[in-house]
Amino acid sequence: MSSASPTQPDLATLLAKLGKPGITLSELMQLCKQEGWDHRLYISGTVGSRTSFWRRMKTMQHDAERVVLVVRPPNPAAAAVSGQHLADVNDDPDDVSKYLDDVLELLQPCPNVPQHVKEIAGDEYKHYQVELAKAQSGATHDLLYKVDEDGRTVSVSGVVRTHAQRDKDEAPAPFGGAVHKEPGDHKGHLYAATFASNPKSADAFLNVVWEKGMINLSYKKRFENAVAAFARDNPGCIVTTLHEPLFRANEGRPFAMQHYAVVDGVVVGALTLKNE
Amino acid sequence: MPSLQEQQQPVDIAIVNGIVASTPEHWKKIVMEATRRVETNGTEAITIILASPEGYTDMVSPKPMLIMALRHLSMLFAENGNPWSKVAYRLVDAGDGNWSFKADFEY
Repeated sequence: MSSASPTQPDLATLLAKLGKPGITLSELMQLCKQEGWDHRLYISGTVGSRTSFWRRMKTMQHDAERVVLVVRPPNPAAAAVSGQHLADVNDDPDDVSKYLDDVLELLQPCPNVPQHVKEIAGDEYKHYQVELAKAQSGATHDLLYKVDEDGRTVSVSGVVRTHAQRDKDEAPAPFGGAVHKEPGDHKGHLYAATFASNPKSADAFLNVVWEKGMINLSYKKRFENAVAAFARDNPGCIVTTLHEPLFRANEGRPFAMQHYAVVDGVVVGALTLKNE
Repeated sequence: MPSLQEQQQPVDIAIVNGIVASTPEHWKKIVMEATRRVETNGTEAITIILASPEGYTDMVSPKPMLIMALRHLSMLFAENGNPWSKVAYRLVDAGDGNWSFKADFEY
């Protein structure tokens, strides 16, 4: 079934790794590098371990590093196939594994996320002179210019003391930015912040998507609660989750999110939540 | 008559400020490429790309000051008879509000 391309993880290997205690983010990243995997494929995190889930929750210890990978950017082919399963809530692990394998097989190497390109034209110098004066004021700059035989600037280098006001760091905006937010949307985590000893680790870019408020507050919570309960009741199991947001081409808001529960490396449950 | 480079210096400073202002706080390295072209109707268009060599993928857009500074730079060179076709500024945060940079020009 799965003849993984150089940029696609082999599901069995991935799940086997996830089913082993102690794999860390850095180890998995290294694995991805070695295997040539696209390491933006999935969000995953360890929910329980051979130690008590609740004790780890209480002591807020060592599992931040277990928050593993991130997601893939939109892929129309995979999304189209995944779309056939949107109505499913499939609890058959064999079916889910097979389905997941099909999806993996369809994944193409990630297209480059386009750089933000801004085309400008026209002349707007009205305020610029003020800005220019501000840039020059109160500072001495020693810039080195290299000039060619025609007097043209070839390069310039130096150090500038800036007065620039930059945007403050904050929790990352969901994938695609604010333009894709719809009324009532929440910034929803794929991998639950409550599963990590350091909740900030769940703010990793692409672990946050625009999500219907009801999903964030209710439907996804039920999934998380079920997984957490399983981890609590089965401390001998390694419980992990996989999360896959599905994007249509050129859209920054997923039309659905798929959540998988994985126990000891085997997918035991899956849930698709439509986000439209 | 000041040389091109003497006229250029305050504009370069404005460009560096504009680049820094256009990017989020956690970007410590920035690359800005501006490509200039003249449309068939004679108007000038400048394409600006802001990128993070550190791999950050925040959505960013050039602040007006950066756009205007690049327009100024373009006019300055055109007036001197040598309009550039592309410039690339590479900035590194040197701490304490200082940014070291290098810019390369193509014609």
